[in-house]
Amino acid sequence: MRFPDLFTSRDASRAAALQWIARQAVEGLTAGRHRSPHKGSSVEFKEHRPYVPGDELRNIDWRAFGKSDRLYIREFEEETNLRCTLLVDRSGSMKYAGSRALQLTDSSTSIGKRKQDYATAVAVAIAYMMLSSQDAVGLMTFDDRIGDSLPPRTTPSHLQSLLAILAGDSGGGETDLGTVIRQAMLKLPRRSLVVLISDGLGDPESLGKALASLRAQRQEVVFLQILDPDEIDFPFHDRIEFRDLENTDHREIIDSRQIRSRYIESLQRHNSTLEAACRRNRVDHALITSDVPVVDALARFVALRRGGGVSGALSLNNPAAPDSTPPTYKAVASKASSSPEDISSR
Amino acid sequence: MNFLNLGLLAGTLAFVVPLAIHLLFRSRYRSMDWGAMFLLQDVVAKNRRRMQWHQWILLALRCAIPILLALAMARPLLSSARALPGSEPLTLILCLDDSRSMQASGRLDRVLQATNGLIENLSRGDEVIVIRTSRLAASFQRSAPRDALAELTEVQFAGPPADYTNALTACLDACKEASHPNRRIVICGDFQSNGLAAGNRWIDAVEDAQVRLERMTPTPRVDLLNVSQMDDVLDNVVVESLLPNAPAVLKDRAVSFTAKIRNDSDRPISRLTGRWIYNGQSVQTTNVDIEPRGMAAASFTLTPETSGDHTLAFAIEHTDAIVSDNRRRLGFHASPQIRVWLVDGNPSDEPLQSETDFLRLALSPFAFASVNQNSQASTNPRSDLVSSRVFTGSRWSNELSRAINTTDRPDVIVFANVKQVGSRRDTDNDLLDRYLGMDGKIVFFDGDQVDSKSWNDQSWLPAKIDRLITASDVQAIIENETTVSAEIQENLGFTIEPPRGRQSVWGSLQDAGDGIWEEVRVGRYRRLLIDDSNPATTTVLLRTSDQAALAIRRSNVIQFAIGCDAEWSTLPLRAVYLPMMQQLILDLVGSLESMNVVAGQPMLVPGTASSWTVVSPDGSTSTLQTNPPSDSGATTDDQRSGVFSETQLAGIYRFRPDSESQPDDSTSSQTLLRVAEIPAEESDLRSLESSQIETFANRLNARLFDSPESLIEATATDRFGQEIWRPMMFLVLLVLITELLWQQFAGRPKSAATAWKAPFASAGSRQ
Repeated sequence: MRFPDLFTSRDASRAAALQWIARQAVEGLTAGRHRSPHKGSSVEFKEHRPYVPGDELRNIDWRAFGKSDRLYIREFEEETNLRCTLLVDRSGSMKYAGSRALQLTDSSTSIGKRKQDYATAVAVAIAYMMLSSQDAVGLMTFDDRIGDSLPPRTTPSHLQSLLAILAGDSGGGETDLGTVIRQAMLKLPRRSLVVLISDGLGDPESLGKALASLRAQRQEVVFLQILDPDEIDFPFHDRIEFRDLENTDHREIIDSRQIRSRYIESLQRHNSTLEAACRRNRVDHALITSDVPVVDALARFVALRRGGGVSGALSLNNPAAPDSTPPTYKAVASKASSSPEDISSR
Repeated sequence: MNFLNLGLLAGTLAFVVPLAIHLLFRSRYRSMDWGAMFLLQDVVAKNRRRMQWHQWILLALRCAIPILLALAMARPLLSSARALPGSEPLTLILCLDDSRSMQASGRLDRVLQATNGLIENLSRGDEVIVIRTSRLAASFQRSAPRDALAELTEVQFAGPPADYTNALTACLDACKEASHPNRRIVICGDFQSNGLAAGNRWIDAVEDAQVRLERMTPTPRVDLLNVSQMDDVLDNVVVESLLPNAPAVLKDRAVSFTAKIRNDSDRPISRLTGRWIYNGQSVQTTNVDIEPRGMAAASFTLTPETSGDHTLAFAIEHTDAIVSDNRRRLGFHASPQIRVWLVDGNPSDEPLQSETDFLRLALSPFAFASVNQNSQASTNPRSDLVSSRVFTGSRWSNELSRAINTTDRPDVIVFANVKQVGSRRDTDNDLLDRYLGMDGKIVFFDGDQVDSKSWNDQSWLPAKIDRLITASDVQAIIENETTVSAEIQENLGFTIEPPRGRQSVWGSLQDAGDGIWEEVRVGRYRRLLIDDSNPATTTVLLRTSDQAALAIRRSNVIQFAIGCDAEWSTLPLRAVYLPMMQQLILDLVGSLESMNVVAGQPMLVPGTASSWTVVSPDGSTSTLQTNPPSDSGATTDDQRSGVFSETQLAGIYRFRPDSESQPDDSTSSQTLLRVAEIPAEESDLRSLESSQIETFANRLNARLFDSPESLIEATATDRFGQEIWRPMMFLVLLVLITELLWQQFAGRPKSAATAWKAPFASAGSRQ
């Protein structure tokens, strides 16, 4: 799989133009656009501190000495690059492909309408955006355990490594996001950005605890929840045997009309719990349906994030989706942003 | 339950169609991989039982639709446990209240609607027995349903008051005449307040009827239709009575008549026009005002110029519930002078010593005075209402034989202390029978000469003559300490209980007070043995203070237990005697009873002709044969006279003697008039208390209906069952709608439906 298979040149240039600024101070290896917890030599004044022997004389603020007859050292902010790790869900539930999902590539490739494909595209787009900004980006795939992983790097060729891993059709087991994240924490660099790309169909309480642990590590966390439109409005009317993608032995024959409303109610309840956990842990949560163009969704997300509009949860879906989309999501989408054009013009 | 289209019942098997579809649907499904099984599993686990119930109910509803549809198309008939099989022949005993009150407020329309409906629902093999309350004594006619319908069109609802207990008895009698074992009794009427016997006697009669009903196998079903429950307005004005103000009407003597008008409405009526109609000619009009629920009277004075039968009617012009009761008729006979024959059993030449002297003096005081004061006084006998003639021995029978068929026939024959009827016993008996049969009147006075055995053979005497009760008997009673009034103890004689207004014959003496009777003492009297078998026909006119009968009346005969002279009592010596005897004779002769009967009651026609042509009020004519006296001599009233029973219609009946049937020596060829009237109580349109009607129905285990429709429907249901395809089709529709709604909404929880329309709760807090 190559990058051009996923994105057009226009989309690639739009993605490269996006600026993902870390909300908190991050520790990078090179200079960059993001605030660092360390003091450095940037033009951004940070504070004065009393002189101690050993300090370089050139850092003394002689103007302050002239005014106060005391020696003060001028300290400046250090700006560094961002180290981002993408946690991509490769569990069985991500293999669902609804009819309304985007066809990401032509039929000659293996990328199709699955949520997993959409998550791959999102991950690639974020990686491209990061690398374009000289930020380091790494990757971890998981299902019931951590699968492939790449440490964060800033080299452009690193993108190809990511693509190679994401193109693989590994995984398919059951997901326990909480356990997986706790395992991933051991491999994550300090004060980095963690982007969790998953459908979130697991125990929300366990996920909430894992997010809390990540936050305790001073990690900045973004949770991009990928759902198929079918999973949101459950548009089925007939009698269907549902086979569990995570456990093929598990199947239910159900008159889908009878449980539609209850399913939607259950989904609502589940997502409410997820959003509450994210809000509690100051994790940006965005619900993206797989019928929305990837770059559009990212552009909206980045714009909202830059405007401070994302602090707990965000739903991003296709505003031009057909009427079968429940009005709930339309309302959320219109609140998040009116259209990608609006966001890009800000 | 039966079905009219039994073949369509096979359509119920169509329930296998939805069942098969259901099973097929269950086996047909598509498979798909699903990622959010985590959520789906939770929903399914919580709702599996509910969904199963939902499916079963839905399946039941879908199966019920073809079943109900097939049942409805098979036209099911619902029948009760007591219902007759529709093919069994039935005898319908239909009892109609054809009294006059049925004319009010559409009652007869409702009754005819019910009866026609009942008959039209009968099958060809059924039969109908129609009984009219005005003709309960008529023989029962079994008719085919079509003939019964024709018979009903001829019913005139103008009869006398209905008695429902008698009607019920007649219905039970008719059950015996029924051709079919399955019988149904339907009594239709307005159950007027006078429809049941007074007191609780009707309850006994109904219970007896119930016993009779239960003995019948199968027990006939009894249904009652009370059509008075649907009455609208019952405002009615009725001419309640029409009576003369004198005991007798005499030719060329003015007599006034009074008509009473009753207003049964709640509004006053002013200037109500009334017409007096004399012998069919309107002679006078008058206007009266009547208060709500009040009475008014109108008077009319008339001087009959000819003797014979006359009719007078009073008619008011008013539109009300019953029009036919706005006219009341009266028949009366105008006599030139009352002829009384006094048969003296103890004659004497001495003044006031003869048996009949006191009576003759009382009856013809002016003539008596003329005889004593002036031998020429007989030229002015017209001052007396009564002309009396005295006979001794057996001369009266010879004279009566000659005059019985002439205008010289006496109005009254008085037997005073006569030993026996006559020397020619059988002949005289027949003669008296003929005389009574020609509306003759007899007054019998007791006395010492009377041979009780001879007189007791006379069937026309109201009572048997028993032993003599004297003052000494009273003394013996006192000595035996038997209860005797203090008054008798003081005077050793019997006093007379003032009759006051109890008897109309003495009504005119009421104003004089009780004092006129106080000085009368009865020394002895005959004990009278009144026939207890038929006490209603015998009236005690006068009695002692100890309730011993002194004068009794039955029909045209009055029997005294005392003599008409002063030997047995002081009555002839008292002032009360003259007006008392005058009133007695006038009342007896002027009695209106023979000319005026209650509609439905028989009319007696004197046997002066063997055949009569009778013209009824509706113009129809019939022939009445009069039975000749039997050779045995033991004759009854009916044998002596012609009895005309078809008097159900109110109005004037004219009896014209057939010329060839009249005896040669008869000089009477006048048409006799008789009047049949409906009692004024019939115009009281109040119904029986509902509790009484319910008791009447409950004792019979009868069903009570208020409307013709409900009766017809119930009887049709009993016979054939009730078609219930309409409710079943409605049920089909209901099940269809239920299935639709159940399918659409029943499986969806209320909270989920809300969630479908509302945004995610988190949306509002997303900032």
